[in-house]
Formats: sequence, C-alpha cells, structure tokens
Amino acid sequence: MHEKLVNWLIKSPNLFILSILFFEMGTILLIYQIQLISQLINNVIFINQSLGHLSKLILLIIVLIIFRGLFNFSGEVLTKKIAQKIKSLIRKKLADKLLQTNSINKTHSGNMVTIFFDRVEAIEDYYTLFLPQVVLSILIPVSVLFFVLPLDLLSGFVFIFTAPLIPFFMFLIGKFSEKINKKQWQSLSNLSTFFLDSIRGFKTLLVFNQHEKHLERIKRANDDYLQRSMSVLKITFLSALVLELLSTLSIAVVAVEIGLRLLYFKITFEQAFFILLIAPEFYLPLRNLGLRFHAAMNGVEAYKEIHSFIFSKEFHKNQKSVNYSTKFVQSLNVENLTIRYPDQESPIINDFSFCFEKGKHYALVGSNGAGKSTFFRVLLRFIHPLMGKISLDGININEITPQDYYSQISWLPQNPVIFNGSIVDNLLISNPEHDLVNLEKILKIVELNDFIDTFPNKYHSEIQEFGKTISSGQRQRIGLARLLMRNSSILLCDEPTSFLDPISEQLISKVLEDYSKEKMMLTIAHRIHTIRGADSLLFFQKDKPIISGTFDELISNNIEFQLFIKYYFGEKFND
Amino acid sequence: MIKNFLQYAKKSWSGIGISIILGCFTVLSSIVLMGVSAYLIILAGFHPSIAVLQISIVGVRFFGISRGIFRYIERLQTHKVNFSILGNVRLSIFSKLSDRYYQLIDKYSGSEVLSIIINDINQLENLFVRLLSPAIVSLLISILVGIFLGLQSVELLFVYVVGYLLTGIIIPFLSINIGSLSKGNLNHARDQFQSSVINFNQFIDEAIFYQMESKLTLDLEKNIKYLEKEQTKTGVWQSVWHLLSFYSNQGVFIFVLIISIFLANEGKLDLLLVGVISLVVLTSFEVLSNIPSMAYLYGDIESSSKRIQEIEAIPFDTENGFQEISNEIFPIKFLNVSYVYPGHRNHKALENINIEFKKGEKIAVVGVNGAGKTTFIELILGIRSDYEGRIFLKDQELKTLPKKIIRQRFGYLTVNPYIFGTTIRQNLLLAKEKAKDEELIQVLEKVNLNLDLNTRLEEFGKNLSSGEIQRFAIAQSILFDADVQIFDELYANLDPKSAFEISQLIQEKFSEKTVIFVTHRFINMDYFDNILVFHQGKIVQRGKHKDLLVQTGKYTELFNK
Repeated sequence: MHEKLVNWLIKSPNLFILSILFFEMGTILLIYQIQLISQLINNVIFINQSLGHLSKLILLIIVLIIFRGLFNFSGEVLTKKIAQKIKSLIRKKLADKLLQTNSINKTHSGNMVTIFFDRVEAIEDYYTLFLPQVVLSILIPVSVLFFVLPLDLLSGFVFIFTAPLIPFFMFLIGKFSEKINKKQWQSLSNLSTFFLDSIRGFKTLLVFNQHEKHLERIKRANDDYLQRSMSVLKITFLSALVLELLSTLSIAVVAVEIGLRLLYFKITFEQAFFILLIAPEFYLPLRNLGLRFHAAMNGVEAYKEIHSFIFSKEFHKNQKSVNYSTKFVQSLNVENLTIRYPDQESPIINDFSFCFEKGKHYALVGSNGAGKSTFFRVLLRFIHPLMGKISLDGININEITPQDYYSQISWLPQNPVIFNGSIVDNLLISNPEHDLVNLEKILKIVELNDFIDTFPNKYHSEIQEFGKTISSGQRQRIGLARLLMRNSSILLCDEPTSFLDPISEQLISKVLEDYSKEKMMLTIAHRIHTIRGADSLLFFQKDKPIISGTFDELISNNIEFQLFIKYYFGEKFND
Repeated sequence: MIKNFLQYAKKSWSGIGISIILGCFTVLSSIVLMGVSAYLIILAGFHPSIAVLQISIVGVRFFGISRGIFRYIERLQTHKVNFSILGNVRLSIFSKLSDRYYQLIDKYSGSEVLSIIINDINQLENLFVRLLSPAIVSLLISILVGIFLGLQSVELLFVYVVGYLLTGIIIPFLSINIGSLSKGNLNHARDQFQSSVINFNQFIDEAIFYQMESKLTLDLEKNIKYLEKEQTKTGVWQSVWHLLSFYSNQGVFIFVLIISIFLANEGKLDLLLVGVISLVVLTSFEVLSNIPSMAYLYGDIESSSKRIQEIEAIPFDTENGFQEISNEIFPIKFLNVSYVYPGHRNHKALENINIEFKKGEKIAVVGVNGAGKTTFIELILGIRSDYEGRIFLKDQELKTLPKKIIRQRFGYLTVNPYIFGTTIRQNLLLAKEKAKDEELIQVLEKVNLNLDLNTRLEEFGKNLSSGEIQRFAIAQSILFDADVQIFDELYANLDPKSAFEISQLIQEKFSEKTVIFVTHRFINMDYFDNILVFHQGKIVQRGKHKDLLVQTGKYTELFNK
C-alpha cells in the first residue's frame, strides 16, 4: 500500500521536492545557528567578551532564527498543500469510478460519504507528517554528519555507529510485536466492537429488560480490553524505549567522550560545545519518525478501502457510436440476453429472448432480486450484458449514441431523484427545449401548480427551500412531469412499492394511461391492476428462466405464478 | 469539558498522578542530561583534574539511561489510565442512555445518536493522553525550570514567565478563538461537500439518462475545490500559530542568553552557568513545542464533550415508584386516549381511542404511514406516558406502573431485530437468562432454524438472511414468554414467500398469547379476531377480515392496493 500512496505523489513531485528543500535549508541554518551559539558561549566564558562585543553575533543568530522559522513554515505549508491536492485528486477519481459503477450495487449514501470524506481525510497525515519525515530522517542526520565529521572524527563515528541501530532495533521489535499483535488483534477488535454493538442493539436490550445487566457486561469487556491491550502495548512500546534509550545514551556517551578529550586538549571548547548541542538534533528526526509511524498506519488502512473501491470490477463495455435517425420505434428485440454482476458467480438473467412491440403494454412481475430492475438497468444502458444483444428495429443499441438512444425512452423511476437546483432546472433536464408556458401546462396536469404557487419564487424556487417537505407523492409527480416533457416511443415505468396518498396514486395512473396510448410500455408492476391490465406479462423468478404470457395463461398454467399472486395479493384469488 | 473529565476520572486519581509524575521525570531527564553535559564540557574547558569531572560524568550517564526508561513506564501508565477513563465514559453514557433512549430518538434520529456517541467517545480518547497529561506536564516542567532560573536571578525568571505566558497561554488562546472563526467556514465546506456526495450518489442514474453527467460531476468538483480551499486555509493558519510559538520560544532563549551574559559581565552570575542555562532553556522547549497542536485538538474535544453533555442534559422520565403489578393484566382498556407529540400542539397523533383487549385475542393494526399505529404501540409499551385519557391493565393505570414491569409483560419485536455479534447462545439468553441449552435448541427447532448454539454471528447478524433473522427474533420472543406479544411490521423486509411462512409460524407458536400485529401488508388476515384500521389518528373501522371486506371503507381501499 505504501508504494500506492507514494505513487500519487510521484505524479507531481516538484512541490514535494521543494518542501524537502525548505526543510533542508532550515536544517542547515540550524547547524549554523548552533555553531554561532557555541562560539558565543566560548567568547563569553573563555574570552570574557562583553555584551557589546557580542551584539553582532547575537544579531546574526536572531536573523538565522527568523529565516529558520520561515523555511520550516514554507515547508510545512507546502506539504499541506500537496496533501490537499492529492486528496482532491483521489476524490475526483472516486467520483469518476462511482459514475461508472454505481449501477452494480446501489451504495448507501452514508457509506459513500464515509469513503469520500473520512477515509480520504485519514490519509492526509501520511503526506504531511510521515512522508516528509521519512526523507528528513535520512537527510538531516547526513547533513549533521557532513559538519561533524571534519570537526571531530570520533564523535562522528559515534553518530554513524548508533544511528542505524535505531531503525534496526525498531524493525526487530516491530516484527516481533506484529506477530503478537496479530494474535491479539482478533480478540481486541471483538472487544472494541462490543460497545458499538451494545449501542446499536440498545433497543433490543431494552425490550428484554437486559440493559442494566448489560452494564455489567460492558464493564467486564472494558476490564478485559484493558488487560489485553496493556500486554500488547508493553511490547509495542518497547520500540519507543529502544529509540529513546539509544538516542539519549548516545548523547551521554558523546558528552562524556568530548568532555574528557577537551580536558586533555584534544579538542577546543567551541568544537566540543557545538557537538553537544548538535547531538540531540541528530537523533530528533529518527525519534519523530517513530512517533509518526502510527499516524501513517492509519492512513494506509484507510487507503486500502479507497483503493479497493477505485479498482473494483466493472461491467465490460463495448461502444461504437452510430447516429440513429429519430423515428418511432416499432420493436425492441432482446436476443439471448445474459447478465451477470461482476461480483457474483451465476447470472441473474440467463439467455433471455423476447420481442417487445409498439403499442403494447408489458408488466414485469416477480419477487425482489429476481432481475426485474436489472433488466430495466440494461435497457437504460446503466449496466452492460455479459452476452446477447438488444436492438431497436434491428439496430444494436450499443451502436446508437447515448443522445439518440435516450431520446427514444421515457423513464419513470420508482423514486425520482430531485437534485439541488430550482424546480425548473429539475424539470428542464428532461427536455431543455420546453418553454415556461408548456411547463405550466404540464405542472397543471400533474397538479403541482398549487403546491409550487405557495413558494415566493414559484418554480424558480431552489429545491432546498422545499427541503424535507417534498412528499413521495410530490416526488412522483415531478417524475411524471419529466415524463410528460418528452415524447418518446418507449416508456419504462417502475411502480412505487410504498404507499402513496390515494389522490397522487389516482392521478398518476390516469396520466400514465393517457400518455402511454400507442406507446410501447414496460412496467415493473406492484399493483394487481397493472398486472391484469397488461397485454403481456414477464414473470421473473430467481435462478429460473423468465416466463411470458397473458395473465389468464399464466394463472391457469403456472403453479409458481399462482403462488406468487397468492402471497402477494392475499386470498383474493383463492375463490 | 474539564468538569466532564473530573467526573470520569474519579477512580483513577492515583493513576493520573503517577502518570503525570512519570511524564515530568521523562522531560526532566533530558533537561538535566543536557544541563549536566553542558556543565561537564564547560568545566572541562577549564582543564581541571579529572576527579572534578567524575560526578558530572556519572550524572550524564544516569540521565542518559533514565529518560528512555521513564518514557516507557510513563506511556504504559498513561494508556492504562486512559483506558480506564474511557471505560468509565462508556459506562456512564450507556447507563444514561437507558433512561433517555426514547427521548433521544425523538430528538435525533437513531443513526445520529449512534454517530454522536461513537465519534465523540473516540474524540475523548485523546483527552487525557494527548491533551490533559501533556498540558499539566508542560506546566509543571515550566514551573521547575522557572524556579531554577529564579534562583539565579529575578530578571531571568521574569523573561521566562513572560515567554511561557506567550507560548503556553496567549498564542494557544488566540489560535483557539481565531481558529473557531475559520472553523465555521470549514464546517460549512465539509457539510456542502458531504451533501454534494449524497446528491451525486443519488442522482447518478438520472444524470446518465438525461445526459447531464458532466453537470453533476462539475457540481461535485466545485465542492471538492471549496473543501480544499478551506482546509488549506485552516492548515496555513495552523502553521502560522506553529511559527509564532517557535519565534516566541526562540525569543525567550535569546533574551535569557542576553540577560545571563549581561549578568555574567556584571559578575552577578557564574560564567559556568551561562552555558548551562541556555541549554536547560533550549531543552525545556520540548514540552512547549506541542502546544499549538494541543490547542487545535482542544477545539475538537470540546465540541465532542459538549454534544455528550447535551445528551446527558436531556430530561428523562423518572420511574414511577415500585408499585407491584397484580398477576392479571387483562382486560387491557383504552378509554378516550389521545396523544399529542410535544411541540406539535395542533396535531393529534391519536384521537379518542377506545379499545379493549382480552386474553388470547389476536389483533391486527393496519393503516398507512402516519396513521398513528406506531404511537399506539408506544403507548401500550409505556414509552410515552404523557397521554390524555386512561389506559388500564385490568384495574391499574398504565402510567403508574414501573416501565420495567411493563416490559416484562409486553414483548415487542420490531421490523429490524438486532442481533449481537456474539454467539447464538448469548443472543438467545438475552430473552431468557436462565434457559438451559436443551430449551434453546428446542426453540430453534420450533422456528425451523438449524443453527449451532456456539456459532458466532458476524456483526449485525450478517450471516443470516432477513427471513432467518426474523425467525431468530421470533425464537427470542418465544423464550421471552410475555403475556402480550407485539409484532411491528415483520413483513417489511421479506419477500412474499418468507412473509407467508412467518405468518404461519406466528399463528402456530403464539396461540395462547395475546398478539398485536402491526402491518401494512395483508397476509393471512383471517387469523385475527379483531382488525383495527387506523386513519389520521383514529380507529375508523374494526372487526374481522371477512366482515370488513364486505363494508366499503378504508380497509377495502387499503386491501385493494
């Protein structure tokens, strides 16, 4: 996963390099500042210079501090900028992917928000805290050595010798604790979801009068969690122990070593003090890296989910585009249609052939998950069949440009979606050529005019103003209005399963009746009325071929259909 | 926030004390290490005999080792304290939930409650480890360093105190207050972005159909940009505060240096100490450098703990004494019962309900959404006791009975039964604590489920189908063995076949019980002795299926859909 996260950076590495450069400049200024400070202390203690003599030196140190701050600030801001850019890039990628694959599995919007927002946010620290630190934990020690080695070989060697020990021991302990972690992980995660589970299932606990006893269980789970976590942490924190121990011990070793050599005139005070001051700075980046490792791991975990979403399977597509002259469609022919979802083994629709004709009404019936909606989604070209062909008057629909194809279809979804924008915007998407006069007529037909008149800007009102006050009946009517604005030859209609108010329901069936005359209409039917009124039925069943026929044929010949009608519409047909 | 913390920390005082002392020792180790090292080197610069250096060499070695060890113990201790505080938070929230559950659900939606509780508790996780403990340690260390400087001269102490006020108090204070200004924008951008993701996700099909994918994408991209802009702004501000506290720290260092040189020149300060002081001050900044990020954390934690306080502040019904309930609860009578939701004065959710249930009766409650079915059930269950009129269980007013007792007598199975992520056995034992394994196996057989008691159910019962979950919940209801069993919209998520099977199962297994069955799907309606048709808060029709069918009215209207 690390490489994949780094890959996002490699696409535009300039800013990152620049930010590292800023940090490096800051480091060099720091080293210079430390040199000046040791010179200052030397001059004060051993040359007894007065404050006046030292003012130049002090001024220079102040200037260095100012620039150091600015360099580090710029580096920090740059890494944040980079992280923001990458986050936006990933979000756009996610949106593209969602646009392509939404049809596979209608994902709950809440989950989408989690991926789009929370998961993407979680990777920010990886770019702002972790990655720069990885580079710096090499760059800064090397820069320090560059100054220390010519000055004092022995201290330089102490640095060189101890520095690699830190990552080495951390790696060893990391490996060891990882094993233990994995063993404990299962039970730990069981325990941590325990509380979540308790809150989610609270109502059940309440119903069974168990909520007080459950308090005890939570307490026990807490104690258990505490004990297990502590035994894991004892090992996990060992790496931090080694880190601290090695770095402070090395500083102590260096301090004693240079102190003794200073005593025997092997080194000047200024040099010795410089090395003492620089020693903590040498180990600091390695220490920070250890501290930030955890944040990085969270990012990597979050990215796994993002990655699997971006690279999830898609329906394969083959699109050639040919213009299709707009005429009234005579027939819609389905041949050997097989549809399989990329994440499933067996096809949901298998080898289905049928010819839909102009002017006839078809009802699609069957229980949930039998493939009715899938079939609609193929007709709407949201998803693509594994095999088979669908053609309009002999022309494969894959070869028709989306514009020409969709203009042949009117679609009334089960729950028409209203997007953010004005009510006019929401209607005109169906046919931008309509003018307001026409629009008003249509709104009258679907009896939305009174409702819209209650708003100050009438149909120019932003839909957000309607807020939650839009009922499912009004939603349906907006869908209906969209339908009336286009005059296409095929009508796809998905009857709502939920209860509508009786007035909306009557209105919808009346409008549809008028509108669908002479048209080819396919309805996913949930009302016995629609099923009986259709010229022909398509009966969908799970893992079985689709059966067609008139209502009377099916009810007298097909036991499964009889049962289905009985389950669905009660005892009415017992008689 | 602090008040909250104090309440949760009650039993952990000694642990907190130890963890803070250890934290101080850790930081002190490195300060003293650098101070003593500086002393050693400056001393060596005067080339005394080696014996003079011996003590400081030992000191350097000791503090070189001690820091790592202190740090290790401190981290363990801090996390231990944190776990136990968090445990207390969970317990306290959970116990408060018990009293206020339905009030909460009225105010927020169920998922909101969930996310508030889960997210905010996670935020509190940072409270001790990342905020309180470092803040206290930094204060204590600064006091110690201040004392050390004050012992040398008052001027040094003055500079240090001013510097500490600046870095430790004024800059964080400003950053919290100015930060909260820009936070408003950031939250707005976040909300806009999230709602545009929802919009995007919901509108995709229509967008493809109406050929407006690019417009849809554009809208989302606009909000991605807006979010990016606001987040960058916030990020830059954070860096600005970071820079300011860096300058303030370094400023203190320079001033301390200048003053100590001045004092040394005047002969008021030992020359040796000039170097030692400058290193001590430099090293003590370790505790101050985290303050900007702590200030940022403070904002998040504070808003979390505010929300938790909000939940805690919701008033709850107190239990009505300890009145015992007589064994007989039948007949259950509603006399002129009306209900108005608090805050909806003019709208009666229920109006003049009069009904009587006898023992063993099978009752169906039907009607469209919003007809009053749910409110009716909530009254029976004693969830809402602020009704008008009277409800009697035999001769006792429902209002006066403890809820716990009511819950024992009325079983309630909802549309989405919840299954815990533990074993089948544990889930069943919720309904009947002392049941033996044989009884559990029997009950599973009764509902035609072939499950092993030791099987662990995945989160939310994912390895069961929705029909199986319903049957499992029915098994729980059988075990629970209440006098009245209420079923709420059991068919909603089921295909017709499973729904039919469930209806048969209930008919068989609850023959002795009083059953109240809420539904909007008409399956097996002949089973019911009395069907109540709710419409706009009233019972508009009642009777048996066959009788209702011959009348023209709401029932036939609903049935014919």
